Amino acid sequence: MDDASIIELYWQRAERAIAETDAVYGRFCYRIAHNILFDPQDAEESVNDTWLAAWNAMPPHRPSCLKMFLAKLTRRISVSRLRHSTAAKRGGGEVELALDELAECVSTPGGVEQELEARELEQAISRFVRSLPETERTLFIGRYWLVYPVNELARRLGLKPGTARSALSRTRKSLKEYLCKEELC
Amino acid sequence: MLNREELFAAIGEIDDELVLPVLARLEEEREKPRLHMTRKALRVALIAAVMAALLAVTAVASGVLGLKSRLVPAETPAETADPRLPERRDHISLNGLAGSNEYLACSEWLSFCDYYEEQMARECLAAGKEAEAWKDSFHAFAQNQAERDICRIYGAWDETMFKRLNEISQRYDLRLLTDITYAPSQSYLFETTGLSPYIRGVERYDYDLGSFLFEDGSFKDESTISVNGEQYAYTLTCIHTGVLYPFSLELPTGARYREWEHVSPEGITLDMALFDNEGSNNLIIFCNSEDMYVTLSLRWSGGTAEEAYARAELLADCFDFAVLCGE
Repeated sequence: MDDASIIELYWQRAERAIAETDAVYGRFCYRIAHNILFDPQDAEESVNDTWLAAWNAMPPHRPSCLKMFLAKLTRRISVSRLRHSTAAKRGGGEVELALDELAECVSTPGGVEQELEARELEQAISRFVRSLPETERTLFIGRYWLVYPVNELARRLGLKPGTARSALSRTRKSLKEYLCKEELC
Repeated sequence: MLNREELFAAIGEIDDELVLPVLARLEEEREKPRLHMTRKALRVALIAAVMAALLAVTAVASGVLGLKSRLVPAETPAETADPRLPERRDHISLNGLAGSNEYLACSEWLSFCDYYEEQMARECLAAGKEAEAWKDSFHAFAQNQAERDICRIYGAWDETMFKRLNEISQRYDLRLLTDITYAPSQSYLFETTGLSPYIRGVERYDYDLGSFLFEDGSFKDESTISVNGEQYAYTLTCIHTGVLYPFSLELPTGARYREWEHVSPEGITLDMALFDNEGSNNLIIFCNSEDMYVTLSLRWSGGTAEEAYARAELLADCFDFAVLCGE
């Protein structure tokens, strides 16, 4: 079933919308959730929560790209689930490694206090990512948006793992400089 | 002030237009053939194929059609290899022995990919572009959706590659696969392929959603089993003959291996190859019937060589190869 038909099912409040979404995007969303949560059960629950969130959002929302819409929902829900899970449960997942790497780009363990500042940060990161060459951009998004393990990312892109790591390291350094320049770090 | 969790969350909110092409590209790369063999290596493989074909008459009876008869060797990379170009590795053909149309067509297609992709990448780099700037990820050159699906499955990035793919498949009288489906569960895999359950005697089975199947019933199952308290990730491929299969299995780099035969509880002779790379074990098991080639790869760490050998046979017996071979 194509995206437009699936969205139409949501708008008609047809419960089949969930089954059709699961058939087309279940595996895709599970992979995103699992990369973040590193736990099959948590990942499955995140995907179920994604279907519920999609059900609640449509209508009134009509996504221009269903795949991207679901991917973002899954990532947000998985990150939120990760935050609510105990700190002790962390440590084995790919996301912990990714967070450690990103810690290089921030100055303090504090937090963004204003929503406005968070929006500004998102826009600044979009500008930064847009400025990256294609390979670096793919690596950055693959690693920190989709949370792929570096080795797998390198394999899929036909790069040596060391090359991918070096490129990511350079990009993180550039990001830190950029955020500091924008007074956001 | 910003912390790492907030930075991670903010990255998740970057513009969709930045993420979408990466999603598309990584999904395509996930199933892109990764066999790279130059024309020189192809000549070596063809000579090996003739030798293997001569040996085959007696080998069927003695069951030694194992790794070597499926091996597609890669040329040794040049010392000055550009790190931006793909790394070359040895591979295993998944639906034909050396000398068969399936093996030769697969070798020829992938050899062409290697030669052509490298040439195009070099041209782009020389022009100051990204190495992959020549690739049309959306296959706009295809005439219709069916052609686009074929290009996506085989990693044909432009019209030249697509034409060559068709030419090779016709010359070797092989069909091209046109429809790949990701299996959401193992029961879906069983229902679609008509197979009975083929895993037994394991404490736990975790389907990891990395499995897919094609319209002819050929499939790959990537999952995890637990045996005697240990977890083993496995990759199982069951591929029919008569098609130009787009993928191959990479061999572990720089690993020593030993080969032997093992008879399954159903009386099927399995060709086993156990790779040892600094304590990391990789077991590859081969068997085939007239129209189905089965390749099973399992990975684990630790243990002595003798323990690994015993464990390999124990793991092999967790799979019903009679079901897999359709016997």
